[in-house]
Amino acid sequence: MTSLDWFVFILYFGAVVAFALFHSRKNVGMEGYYLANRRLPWGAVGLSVMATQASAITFIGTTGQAYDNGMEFIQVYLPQPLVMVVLCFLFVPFFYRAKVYTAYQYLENRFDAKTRSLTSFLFLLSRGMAAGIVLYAPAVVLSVILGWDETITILIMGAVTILYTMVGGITAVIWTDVLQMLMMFAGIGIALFILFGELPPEVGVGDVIYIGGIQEMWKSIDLSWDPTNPYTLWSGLIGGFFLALAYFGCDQSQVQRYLTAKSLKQSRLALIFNAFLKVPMQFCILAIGVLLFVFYHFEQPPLIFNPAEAALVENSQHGDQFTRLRSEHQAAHTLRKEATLGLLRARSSGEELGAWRNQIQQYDQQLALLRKESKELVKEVRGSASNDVNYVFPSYLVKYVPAGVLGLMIAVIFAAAMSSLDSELTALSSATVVDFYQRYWRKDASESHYLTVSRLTTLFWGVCASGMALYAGQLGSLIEAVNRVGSYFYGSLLGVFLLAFLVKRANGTGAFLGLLGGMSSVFLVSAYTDIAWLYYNVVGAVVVVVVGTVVSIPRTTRT
Amino acid sequence: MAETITASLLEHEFPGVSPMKEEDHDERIGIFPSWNVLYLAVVVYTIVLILLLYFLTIALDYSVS
Repeated sequence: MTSLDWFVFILYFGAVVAFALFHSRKNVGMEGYYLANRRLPWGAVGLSVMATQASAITFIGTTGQAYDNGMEFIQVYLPQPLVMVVLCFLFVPFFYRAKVYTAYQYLENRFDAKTRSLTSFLFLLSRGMAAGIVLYAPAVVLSVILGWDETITILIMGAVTILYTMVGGITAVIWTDVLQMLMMFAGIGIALFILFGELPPEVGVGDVIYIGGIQEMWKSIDLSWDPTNPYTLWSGLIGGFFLALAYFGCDQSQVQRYLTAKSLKQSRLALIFNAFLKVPMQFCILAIGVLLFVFYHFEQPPLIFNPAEAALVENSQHGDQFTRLRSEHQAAHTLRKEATLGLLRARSSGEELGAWRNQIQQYDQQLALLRKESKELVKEVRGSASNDVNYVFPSYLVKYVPAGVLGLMIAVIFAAAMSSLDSELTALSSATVVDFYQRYWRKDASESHYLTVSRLTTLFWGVCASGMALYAGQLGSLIEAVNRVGSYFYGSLLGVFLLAFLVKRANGTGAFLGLLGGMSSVFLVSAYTDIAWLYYNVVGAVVVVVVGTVVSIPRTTRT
Repeated sequence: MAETITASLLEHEFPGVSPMKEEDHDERIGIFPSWNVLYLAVVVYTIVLILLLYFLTIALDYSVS
């Protein structure tokens, strides 16, 4: 990074922290710390909901996935507008009018204490792990860009985020999210603009679309019915619907956001705002990945984008083999570039394109095969699967974007990470304090006592997230890893809330046993079938509702 | 209808919590005359998005001549 990059990066980083600390003065008591005294406008809440979901993983993992597999990941997001509608008419009124601090608190009113405690505990478990992954993502960027040790980067990032979240509470978190989300919108636009600008002058928008189309990179909808493939329209609509409903409706990190709104109407507007904006935003982020794919038809792409992994293999017993693969990769790229330029000339002169297209497809396959072989080498040397997909976008940023813009883009990635992590820390803290500390330990302490405990709990979870982050590098693609962790619990949690809202006769024992049944089913399905992870949420939710209803009915009848 | 069901359940489960107010689902939301119309607009928007993406999938597939 140049001095200008560092200046932009530090300026933005400092501004966010100062902004957060400025808002910390508005904290009064536990309701102020966790719910901003329920007085925030829908625009701020809506942007915060969006920022909480759009972590740095969204930028790093999703663009990398689009580079390798095209736009197909968009299908997972397609049911989100529908999910927002369900939340508005079913979930939000219950939470908002019940005046709860956490989603799980509602379950004690509706069922019993054990159901509340178990669901809250599951949230803490799954979200605590996910918080670690969220923190790990920007550390990946720094490790590539600055050569910093990932461990040190994680500890520094964690410390700064913990500091302003601990002091600032939800008010600071939400207003900081607004700032950071606006930065993300700007970052997406700048990335698309710069990528187009970096292409050779003779390459127009139509050419970019055509080159991407040769490898079906624009394929956004897959109508095939394959339950083992998470990237089909049906997997997206069914599995993605349950995943999003569980995330936005049962995950305290999201529920807490819309509980801070001034009124029920404002809460709903915040969600509807997301219904209209989320899919277009995700489309633009994925388009960055496809543009990168096209861009690397004209520039030599690295065989392995992660320089640390490449160096590891080079210095291993497989070094010679890796060098051979790299030479073949360079040769194949040169031929593909020539074929691509030939195709562009043919397009402009109206000649037949078939021969050029076949050549490009052939070289594309060859390059993909060489990349696959090199990943196998990484896996053998490293002892775990390569997560190279997460390095594609950062690697491009370092090498190609102009001075100043690099610092800004890195700031955007940090903004994305911080806006997710701070939300998760406040959510984890609120669930711990409200659902456990206040419920079982100190029921009638003073507001200042709870405020102090809340801040200490935020610190505790920040430290846990940092610890988890140190192991996140062993997981595969970050984006899938986060969703996979959630999928083991989310569906069952959703089932409990659906049981509470929709099955009038359901009781606490039914909900509790249903929850255990749902989680057991998910573990069995994941262990003994090839069904795609997106469907775990469907299995968990359905089993909880069925078991909960069946168990509740006889007991209700007897009483 | 959805509002009525929600209000009914809420009243049943939380005697101390106010049921849904009538104006909640009749109120005007910007250009939309009611919440139900707004919800319908979101559903239509989702269908249009899917159709648009399907069109892009077909129209921008240059893998075969």
